[in-house]
Amino acid sequence: MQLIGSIMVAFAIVAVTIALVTAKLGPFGEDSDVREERQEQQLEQQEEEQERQEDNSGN
Amino acid sequence: MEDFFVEITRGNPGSVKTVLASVVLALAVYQLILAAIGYRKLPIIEAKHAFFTHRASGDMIAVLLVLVALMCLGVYGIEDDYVLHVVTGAGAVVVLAIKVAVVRSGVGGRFLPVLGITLFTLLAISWFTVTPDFLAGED
Repeated sequence: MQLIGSIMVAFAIVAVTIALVTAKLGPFGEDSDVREERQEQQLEQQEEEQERQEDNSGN
Repeated sequence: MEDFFVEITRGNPGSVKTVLASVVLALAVYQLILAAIGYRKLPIIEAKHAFFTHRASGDMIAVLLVLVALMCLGVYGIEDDYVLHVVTGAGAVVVLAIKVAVVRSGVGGRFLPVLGITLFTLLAISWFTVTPDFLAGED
Protein backbone atom coordinates (compact mmCIF):
# COMPACT_ATOMS: atom_id res chain seq x y z
CA MET A 1 0.00 0.00 0.00
CA GLN A 2 2.85 2.36 0.88
CA LEU A 3 4.59 1.45 -2.35
CA ILE A 4 1.52 2.17 -4.46
CA GLY A 5 0.97 5.38 -2.54
CA SER A 6 4.50 6.63 -3.13
CA ILE A 7 4.26 5.83 -6.86
CA MET A 8 0.88 7.55 -7.09
CA VAL A 9 2.42 10.64 -5.50
CA ALA A 10 5.09 10.61 -8.24
CA PHE A 11 2.39 10.45 -10.93
CA ALA A 12 0.47 13.25 -9.21
CA ILE A 13 3.59 15.41 -9.12
CA VAL A 14 4.12 14.86 -12.86
CA ALA A 15 0.48 15.62 -13.68
CA VAL A 16 0.29 18.75 -11.52
CA THR A 17 3.59 20.08 -12.87
CA ILE A 18 2.51 19.58 -16.48
CA ALA A 19 -0.83 21.26 -15.77
CA LEU A 20 0.73 24.24 -13.98
CA VAL A 21 3.49 24.89 -16.51
CA THR A 22 1.19 24.40 -19.50
CA ALA A 23 -1.33 26.81 -17.97
CA LYS A 24 1.45 29.34 -17.44
CA LEU A 25 2.65 28.97 -21.05
CA GLY A 26 -0.84 29.41 -22.50
CA PRO A 27 -2.03 28.20 -25.92
CA PHE A 28 0.55 30.30 -27.80
CA GLY A 29 3.32 30.47 -25.25
CA GLU A 30 6.24 30.30 -27.62
CA ASP A 31 5.96 30.88 -31.30
CA SER A 32 4.37 34.21 -32.15
CA ASP A 33 4.86 33.55 -35.89
CA VAL A 34 2.62 30.51 -35.68
CA ARG A 35 0.05 32.54 -33.77
CA GLU A 36 0.10 35.33 -36.36
CA GLU A 37 -0.20 32.81 -39.19
CA ARG A 38 -3.22 31.19 -37.56
CA GLN A 39 -4.83 34.56 -36.91
CA GLU A 40 -4.30 35.54 -40.55
CA GLN A 41 -5.74 32.24 -41.72
CA GLN A 42 -8.79 32.70 -39.51
CA LEU A 43 -9.24 36.24 -40.79
CA GLU A 44 -8.98 35.08 -44.40
CA GLN A 45 -11.50 32.31 -43.78
CA GLN A 46 -13.91 34.78 -42.21
CA GLU A 47 -13.55 37.16 -45.15
CA GLU A 48 -14.11 34.32 -47.62
CA GLU A 49 -17.22 33.25 -45.77
CA GLN A 50 -18.51 36.80 -45.71
CA GLU A 51 -17.93 37.16 -49.45
CA ARG A 52 -19.68 33.85 -50.06
CA GLN A 53 -22.66 34.93 -47.98
CA GLU A 54 -22.82 38.26 -49.79
CA ASP A 55 -22.70 36.49 -53.15
CA ASN A 56 -25.49 34.13 -52.09
CA SER A 57 -27.68 36.95 -50.82
CA GLY A 58 -27.05 38.94 -54.05
CA ASN A 59 -28.26 36.01 -56.17
CA MET B 1 18.44 17.57 -35.58
CA GLU B 2 16.84 20.98 -35.06
CA ASP B 3 14.17 20.29 -37.69
CA PHE B 4 13.39 16.96 -36.05
CA PHE B 5 12.77 18.51 -32.62
CA VAL B 6 10.84 21.43 -34.06
CA GLU B 7 8.67 18.99 -35.99
CA ILE B 8 7.90 16.59 -33.13
CA THR B 9 7.08 19.52 -30.83
CA ARG B 10 4.89 21.11 -33.54
CA GLY B 11 7.00 24.25 -33.59
CA ASN B 12 7.24 24.65 -29.84
CA PRO B 13 10.52 23.06 -28.71
CA GLY B 14 11.08 25.67 -25.99
CA SER B 15 7.66 25.10 -24.44
CA VAL B 16 7.99 21.33 -24.50
CA LYS B 17 11.48 21.57 -23.05
CA THR B 18 10.17 23.85 -20.31
CA VAL B 19 7.42 21.40 -19.36
CA LEU B 20 9.77 18.41 -19.36
CA ALA B 21 12.49 20.23 -17.43
CA SER B 22 9.92 21.33 -14.85
CA VAL B 23 8.74 17.74 -14.45
CA VAL B 24 12.37 16.70 -13.94
CA LEU B 25 12.88 19.33 -11.24
CA ALA B 26 9.61 18.50 -9.49
CA LEU B 27 10.50 14.81 -9.46
CA ALA B 28 13.99 15.69 -8.25
CA VAL B 29 12.46 17.40 -5.21
CA TYR B 30 10.42 14.25 -4.60
CA GLN B 31 13.63 12.23 -4.97
CA LEU B 32 15.17 14.17 -2.09
CA ILE B 33 12.16 13.43 0.09
CA LEU B 34 12.23 9.74 -0.87
CA ALA B 35 15.96 9.55 -0.14
CA ALA B 36 15.39 11.20 3.24
CA ILE B 37 12.72 8.57 3.97
CA GLY B 38 15.02 5.80 2.75
CA TYR B 39 17.89 6.91 4.98
CA ARG B 40 15.44 7.21 7.90
CA LYS B 41 15.81 10.97 8.24
CA LEU B 42 12.11 11.23 7.59
CA PRO B 43 10.54 7.92 8.65
CA ILE B 44 7.08 8.32 7.11
CA ILE B 45 6.95 5.03 5.20
CA GLU B 46 9.17 1.95 5.00
CA ALA B 47 12.65 2.51 3.55
CA LYS B 48 12.39 -0.26 0.93
CA HIS B 49 9.23 1.25 -0.55
CA ALA B 50 10.79 4.70 -0.62
CA PHE B 51 13.91 3.40 -2.34
CA PHE B 52 11.87 1.43 -4.89
CA THR B 53 9.96 4.56 -5.88
CA HIS B 54 13.21 6.56 -5.72
CA ARG B 55 14.71 4.18 -8.30
CA ALA B 56 11.60 4.18 -10.53
CA SER B 57 11.29 7.94 -10.42
CA GLY B 58 15.04 8.23 -11.02
CA ASP B 59 14.73 6.13 -14.16
CA MET B 60 12.07 8.50 -15.42
CA ILE B 61 14.23 11.51 -14.58
CA ALA B 62 17.17 9.95 -16.45
CA VAL B 63 15.14 9.48 -19.64
CA LEU B 64 13.64 12.97 -19.46
CA LEU B 65 16.98 14.59 -18.66
CA VAL B 66 18.69 13.03 -21.68
CA LEU B 67 15.74 14.02 -23.87
CA VAL B 68 15.80 17.62 -22.62
CA ALA B 69 19.58 17.79 -23.05
CA LEU B 70 19.39 16.53 -26.63
CA MET B 71 16.54 18.92 -27.39
CA CYS B 72 18.46 21.80 -25.87
CA LEU B 73 21.62 21.08 -27.84
CA GLY B 74 19.76 20.23 -31.04
CA VAL B 75 17.59 23.33 -31.14
CA TYR B 76 19.59 26.01 -29.32
CA GLY B 77 23.16 24.69 -29.36
CA ILE B 78 25.68 26.26 -27.02
CA GLU B 79 25.00 29.98 -26.63
CA ASP B 80 27.35 32.42 -24.90
CA ASP B 81 24.46 34.04 -23.00
CA TYR B 82 23.65 30.80 -21.21
CA VAL B 83 27.04 29.52 -20.10
CA LEU B 84 25.89 28.68 -16.56
CA HIS B 85 22.86 26.84 -17.95
CA VAL B 86 25.03 24.83 -20.35
CA VAL B 87 27.66 24.00 -17.70
CA THR B 88 25.15 22.94 -15.03
CA GLY B 89 23.04 21.00 -17.56
CA ALA B 90 26.06 19.12 -18.87
CA GLY B 91 27.26 18.61 -15.29
CA ALA B 92 23.90 17.13 -14.35
CA VAL B 93 24.12 14.59 -17.19
CA VAL B 94 27.66 13.64 -16.12
CA VAL B 95 26.72 13.28 -12.43
CA LEU B 96 23.66 11.24 -13.42
CA ALA B 97 25.86 8.91 -15.47
CA ILE B 98 28.23 8.48 -12.49
CA LYS B 99 25.27 7.87 -10.17
CA VAL B 100 23.84 5.20 -12.47
CA ALA B 101 27.29 3.57 -12.75
CA VAL B 102 27.65 3.53 -8.96
CA VAL B 103 24.19 2.00 -8.50
CA ARG B 104 24.74 -0.64 -11.21
CA SER B 105 28.25 -1.60 -10.07
CA GLY B 106 27.50 -1.52 -6.36
CA VAL B 107 30.87 0.15 -5.77
CA GLY B 108 31.03 3.48 -3.93
CA GLY B 109 27.52 3.34 -2.56
CA ARG B 110 28.45 5.67 0.28
CA PHE B 111 28.84 8.50 -2.25
CA LEU B 112 25.25 8.19 -3.50
CA PRO B 113 23.81 10.83 -1.13
CA VAL B 114 26.48 13.34 -2.17
CA LEU B 115 25.96 12.52 -5.84
CA GLY B 116 22.21 12.87 -5.42
CA ILE B 117 22.43 16.26 -3.75
CA THR B 118 24.95 17.44 -6.36
CA LEU B 119 22.65 16.25 -9.15
CA PHE B 120 19.68 18.03 -7.59
CA THR B 121 21.67 21.26 -7.19
CA LEU B 122 22.85 21.18 -10.81
CA LEU B 123 19.32 20.49 -12.06
CA ALA B 124 17.92 23.33 -9.99
CA ILE B 125 20.55 25.84 -11.19
CA SER B 126 20.06 24.71 -14.79
CA TRP B 127 16.28 25.17 -14.46
CA PHE B 128 16.46 28.55 -12.72
CA THR B 129 18.89 30.01 -15.26
CA VAL B 130 16.43 29.68 -18.15
CA THR B 131 12.90 28.54 -17.32
CA PRO B 132 11.59 31.47 -15.21
CA ASP B 133 12.50 33.90 -18.01
CA PHE B 134 10.87 31.65 -20.60
CA LEU B 135 7.71 31.36 -18.51
CA ALA B 136 7.70 35.14 -18.13
CA GLY B 137 7.57 35.40 -21.92
CA GLU B 138 11.19 36.34 -22.56
CA ASP B 139 12.66 34.09 -25.26
